[in-house]
Amino acid sequence: MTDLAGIYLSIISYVNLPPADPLGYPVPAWILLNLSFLTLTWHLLAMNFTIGGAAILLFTLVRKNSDYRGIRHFFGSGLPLGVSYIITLGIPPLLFVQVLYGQLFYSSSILVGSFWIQVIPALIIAYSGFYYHKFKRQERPRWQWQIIVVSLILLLYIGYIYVNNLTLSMLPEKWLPIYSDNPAGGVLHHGEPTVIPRFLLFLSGAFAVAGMALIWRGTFLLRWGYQDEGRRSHSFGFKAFLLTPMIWLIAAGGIYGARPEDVAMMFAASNTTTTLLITGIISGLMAGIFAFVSLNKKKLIYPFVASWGIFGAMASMVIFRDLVRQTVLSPYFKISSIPVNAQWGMFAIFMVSLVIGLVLLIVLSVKVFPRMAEMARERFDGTI
Amino acid sequence: MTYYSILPDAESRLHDHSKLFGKVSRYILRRYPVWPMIDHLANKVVPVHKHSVWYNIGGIALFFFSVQIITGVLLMIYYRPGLPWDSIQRIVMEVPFGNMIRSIHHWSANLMVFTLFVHMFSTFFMKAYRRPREFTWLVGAVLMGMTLIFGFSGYLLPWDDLSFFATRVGMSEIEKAPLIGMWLADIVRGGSDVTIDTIGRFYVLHVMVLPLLTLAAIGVHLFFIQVQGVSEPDSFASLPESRKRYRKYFTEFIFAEIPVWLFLGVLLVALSAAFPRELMPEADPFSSAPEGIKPEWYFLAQYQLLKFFPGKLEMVGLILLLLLPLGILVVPFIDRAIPANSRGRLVNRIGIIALLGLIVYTLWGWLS
Amino acid sequence: MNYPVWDIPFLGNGLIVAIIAIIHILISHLAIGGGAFLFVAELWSNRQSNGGKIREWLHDYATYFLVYTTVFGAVTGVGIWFAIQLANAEATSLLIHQFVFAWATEWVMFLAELTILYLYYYGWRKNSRSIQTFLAGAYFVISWFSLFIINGILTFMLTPGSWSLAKPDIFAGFFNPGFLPSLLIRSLFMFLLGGLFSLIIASRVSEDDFREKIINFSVKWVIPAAIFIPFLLLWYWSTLPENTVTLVKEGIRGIGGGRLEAITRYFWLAITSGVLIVIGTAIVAIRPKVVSIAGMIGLFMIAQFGVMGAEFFREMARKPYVIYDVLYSNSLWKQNSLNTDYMKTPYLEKAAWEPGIEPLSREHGEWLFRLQCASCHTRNGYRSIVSRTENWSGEFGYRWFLTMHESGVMPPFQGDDYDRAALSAYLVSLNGGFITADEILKKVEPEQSPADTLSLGEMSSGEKQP
Repeated sequence: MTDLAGIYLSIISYVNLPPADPLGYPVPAWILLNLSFLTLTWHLLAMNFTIGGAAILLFTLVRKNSDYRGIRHFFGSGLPLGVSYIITLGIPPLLFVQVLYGQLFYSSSILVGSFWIQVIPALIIAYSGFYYHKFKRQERPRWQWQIIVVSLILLLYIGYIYVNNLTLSMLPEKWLPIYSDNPAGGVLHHGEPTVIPRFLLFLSGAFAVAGMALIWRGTFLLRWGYQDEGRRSHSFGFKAFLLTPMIWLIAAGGIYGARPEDVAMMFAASNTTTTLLITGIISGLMAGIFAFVSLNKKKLIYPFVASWGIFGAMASMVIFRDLVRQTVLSPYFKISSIPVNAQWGMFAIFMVSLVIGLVLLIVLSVKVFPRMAEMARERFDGTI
Repeated sequence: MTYYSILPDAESRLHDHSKLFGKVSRYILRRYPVWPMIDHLANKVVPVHKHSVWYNIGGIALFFFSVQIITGVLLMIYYRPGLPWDSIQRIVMEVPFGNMIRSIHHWSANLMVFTLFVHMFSTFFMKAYRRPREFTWLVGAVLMGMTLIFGFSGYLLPWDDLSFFATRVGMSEIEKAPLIGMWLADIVRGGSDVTIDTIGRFYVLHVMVLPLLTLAAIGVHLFFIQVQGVSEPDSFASLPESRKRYRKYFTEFIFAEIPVWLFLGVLLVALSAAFPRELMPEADPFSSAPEGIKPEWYFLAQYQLLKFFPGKLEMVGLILLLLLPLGILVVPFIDRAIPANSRGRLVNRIGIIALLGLIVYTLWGWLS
Repeated sequence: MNYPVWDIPFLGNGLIVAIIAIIHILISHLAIGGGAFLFVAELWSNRQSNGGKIREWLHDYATYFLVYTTVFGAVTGVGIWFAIQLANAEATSLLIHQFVFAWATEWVMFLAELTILYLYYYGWRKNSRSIQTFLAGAYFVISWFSLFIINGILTFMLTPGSWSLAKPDIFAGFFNPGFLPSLLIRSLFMFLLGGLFSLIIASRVSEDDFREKIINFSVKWVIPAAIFIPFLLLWYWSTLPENTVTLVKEGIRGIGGGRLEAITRYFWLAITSGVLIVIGTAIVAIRPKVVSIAGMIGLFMIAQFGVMGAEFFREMARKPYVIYDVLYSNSLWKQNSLNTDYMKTPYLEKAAWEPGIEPLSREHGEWLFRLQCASCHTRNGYRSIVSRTENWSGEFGYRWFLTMHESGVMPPFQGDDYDRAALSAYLVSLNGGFITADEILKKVEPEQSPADTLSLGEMSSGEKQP
C-alpha cells in the first residue's frame, strides 16, 4: 500500500481534482453513504430483474416452446414496469453519488460526455420497445424477438457506459490527457482492465433476480391451484438462478486477473472487506438454498428468505465496491476531509416523507394487490 | 319593405329569427338575393376517406399566403426601394418587432412554396386534374409559376450580398434561353446587370402586379372548386353509395382546420425566434460573389440539373427542364380516363420519378 | 473553471440541456395536470348517467397518458440531470449540495406517484369506485408536490432572494421571490395541458354526441389558465432581475446586429402560443362536434412551442449568471470576479484543465476559448462566436474584452494582457484572418497604463455603466 501511495503522491501534482463544493456535506457522511448503499441496492435489483427478465423473454420468444407461454407473458407484461423502477430507483443513488463524490463523478462524466448523454435516447428507445412488445404482441407476433433484442442490447449498452464512467471517476490521474485529446468526451473506454469484468459483475445477479421472480410467481400459482404452471415456473426460475454464481465467479476472477495486487491488498488492508465478502457469499448461498427449498412448495417463507439472501449479497457487494473506491481514491480524496454543514431540518423532512410515503404505498398495495391477483387469475384461466 | 321576398324554403332553413345570427341573416337576404349561393355553399360536402388529409393542403397554402400579405404590408410601410438595404436594416434593428415580422415573412414564403409542392403532387397523384377539373389544374399551375416568381422577385429586395448575387446567378440562367434569352433578361433586369432599376421592377411585380394577379387566380381557382365540388379519388368513387361518407365543407371541414392553422402560425413565430433571417452586408456589384452562392432551395433542383449540361449541351439541359412545366400543363389532356387506365398508371410512375428527381437534385444542390 | 468544459461542436452543451428540457417540461406538466383531470373526470363520471361509458373512454386517456408520461417524461427528467452536470458541473454541484434532501423528498413523491399510477391503471377493472377515485386524487396531490419542490430549486437559480454563499439558508433560497408566481403559473398551465391532451383523445371518439360531451368537459380546463395567467405573468415579471427586464424591453428593437434580442423573440413566442391556445380552444368549444385529430394534436403542439419560448426565455433571463449573482454561466464565481488579483492572474496559471500550452500560441487562444467561452458559445453553430466577431481586428478584440461584461449578458474577462491577445488572435483566425498574439501586443503596447487595471476592479461588479 505504501509503495503505491508513494507512486500516487509523486504524480499528485498532475492530478487536477476539482476542489470540494463550498457548501460541504449536508449531513454527516455516514448517513449519506448508508442511504446511497440502500438505494443503489434497490436500483441494482430492479436493473437485474429487467435485464435477466429480458434475456429470459428473448429465450422464450426464440424457442417458441408453448410450455413457456406463461413465462413469456409474465416478463412481457412486467418489463416495462421493471424499466420504470430502474429509472425511479436510480434517482437517489445518482443524487447521493453527486453529493459524496461530485468532484470525481462530474469530471469523469464530462470526459465521456458524448457517451454519457447517449444513455437518455438509448433508454427511451429500449423502454418504448418493451411497451411496444407488451401492447402489440398479440396483434403483431412477427418482429417481437427482434425488438426485445434491441431493447436488451441498449440496456446493456447503458450499463457499459455507466461502468466506464464510474471506473474513470476513480482514476483522476488519467483525466487531463483524456480531456486534452478529446474535449467533446468522444472516447468511452480508456484501457482500464477492470471495466469489462466489473460490467459482468454488475450483471451477474440478473438471472438470480429474474429467476427469483419466477419462483415467487410459481409459489403463488401453486397456492392458487395451478399445479403445472407453478411447477414449470419454479423449475425454470431455479435453473436461471443457477447461472448467477457461474457468471459471478467468472466476473470476480476477471477482476482479480486484471489487478491481482490491488485485489489482494484490499483484503489484506482491513477486516471489513473480508467480512463483506464472506457475508455476501453466505447470503448468496442462503438465497440459493432457500430457492431450492421453495421448489414445488406453497409456503411463502422460503422465497421470502431467499429474496433477503439476494438483497444481502447485493448490498454486501455495493458496500465492498465503495470501500474499494475510497481506498483507490485515498491519495487524492478523502470523504473525511469534506466539511459538514448540517441541514437537519431538510433531512428530517426527507426522512419523514420517506416513511410516510412507504407506509402509504404498502397500505394501498395491500388493498389493490388482491384485485390485481384476481385479474391475473382470470386472465390465466383464459390463456393457459 | 323588401325588394323581393325570400324564398319559402330559405325562411324555414335560416337560423331562428329571434337570435342575433338569424336577424342578421334575414337583414342581409332581404337586400341581397344570394340565397341560392348560400344554399349551395352550405351543403357543400367533402368526401371522407383515408386520403382526405390532402384536401387540407390547399387551405394551408392559402393560410401562408395570407400571412405573406399581412407581413408584406407591414414591411412595405418601412421598406424604401430607393434605399433598400438601409431600410431593411432599420426594420431589423430599430423598428419594434421588425426583425420578427421580416423573419416570419421569410419563413412563411418558404413554407408556402413547400406546401404548394405538396399540394401539387398530392392533387397530381389523386388525379384531380381529370374532367371536369382540367382548368382548375391549369389555374393552379399558373399560381405555382406566380408563386415562384414571387419568391424570386422578393429575394432581391433586401439588396444584400446574398440577394444580389443569387439574383445575378438566376438572371444568367434566364440569359441562356434560346433566341430570346438576352432580350428577356434585359427586360426583366432593366439593363444588362442587376441594378437599382431591377429593384424597381421586382418591387412593383412583388407588391402590386403579382398580388393582384394571384388573388384573382386564387379567386378563380376557389370558384371552380366551389362550383364543381371536391374531387373524389377512384378508390372512393368506386364504393357503393351507402359506404361513402361526407363532411360539410364550411362548418365541419374548415372549422376542424383552424387549430392546424393556429399551430402553423405558432410554428412561424418559433422558426423566426430560433432562426431569424440574417441580413448580409450591403450588395457590392463590383466585388466577387460569395463562395458557393446558390439560388434559394426551390430553384436548386433546376440549378443542379443544369450543371450537368455545360457549354454546348446547355440547350439539352434547358429542354429537359422545360419538360416539367410542359408536362404539368398537358397532363389533364393526356390522362383522362375515369377510373384510371394503363396510361393513367404510367403517368403516375412518371410523376413519382419527377418527384424523386426533384428531391434528389434539391438535396444534391444543397449539399454541394 | 474547476471542471472541464464539454466542448460540443455546432450544438453546444447548453442547447443539449434546452432540447431535453423543452420536451420534458411539456410532458411533466401534463403528467400532473392529467392526474388532476383523471381525478375530476372520475368524480364527474360518478354523477353522469353514462358513467361507465365515460370511464371506458377515460381508460383510453389513461393508457396514452401512462405510456407517454412514463416513457418520455421520466426519462427526459433524468436526461436533464445528465445534461446539466455535463453543461455546468459547478452549478449542479452547488445545487445538489444545497438541495439534495429536497430532491430526495421529490424522489419520494416520484416513487409514490408512479406506484399509485400503476395501482390505479392496472387495478382499473377490479378496484372499487372509491379506491379508484382515491388513487387518482392521491396521484395528483403527490405529483403536484413534486412540482412544488422542483419549482423552489428552479426559481432559486433566477431569484435566489436572501440566500448567499456566506449564509446559505435553504428555506430562504427555496421560498424565494419568484417561487409563488412560478408555482401558480405552472399549476394553471398543467390543468390547461390536461384539457388539451384530453381533446386529442376525445377526437378519436366516433360517436358525435358522446364526443361533444367529453369535449365540453375538456375545454373548461383551459379557462383558469386563460383568465389568471396574464395577471400571474405580471407578478412574475415584477420579480425578474432589473437587467433582464431591460434586455427584454430593448430587445423589441434588435440590438447588436439583431442577435441580443433572442430573449425577446422567445418571450413573444410564449405569449403568441398562449393567445392562440385560448383562441383555438374557443373555436373547439363553439363547434365541439367537428374536431379532427390533426387539429387537436396541432393545438397541443402549440403548447409545446409555448414551452419552448418560455424555457428559452427563463434560461436567458439569468444571463450572465447560471445562479444569479452567485455563479456566472461559465462557472466563474461572482465573489472571485470581484477580486482584481484573481481576475488578472494569467489564465494558464489558474486553469486546471489546460494541458500545458505555450503562452501566446494558437492553442493558448483555443484553450482560453474552450474553458471560458465554450459554456455558452460554439464556434460555428449555436450562438456562433464566428458570426459575432466577423469584423474584428486583433486590437479591437483585445480592447473589447475589458468591457464585455457591460453588455449585461457577459461575464467579466478572466486573465491578463497576454490572455486577451491570445484569445483575440484565435477568434480572428477563426474568421480567416492571420494575426498572432505577439503582433497584437506590439500594436497595443503604448495603450497599456496602470489606469486600465484599476478601472477593471470597478467594472467587475457586472453593472452597466450609465
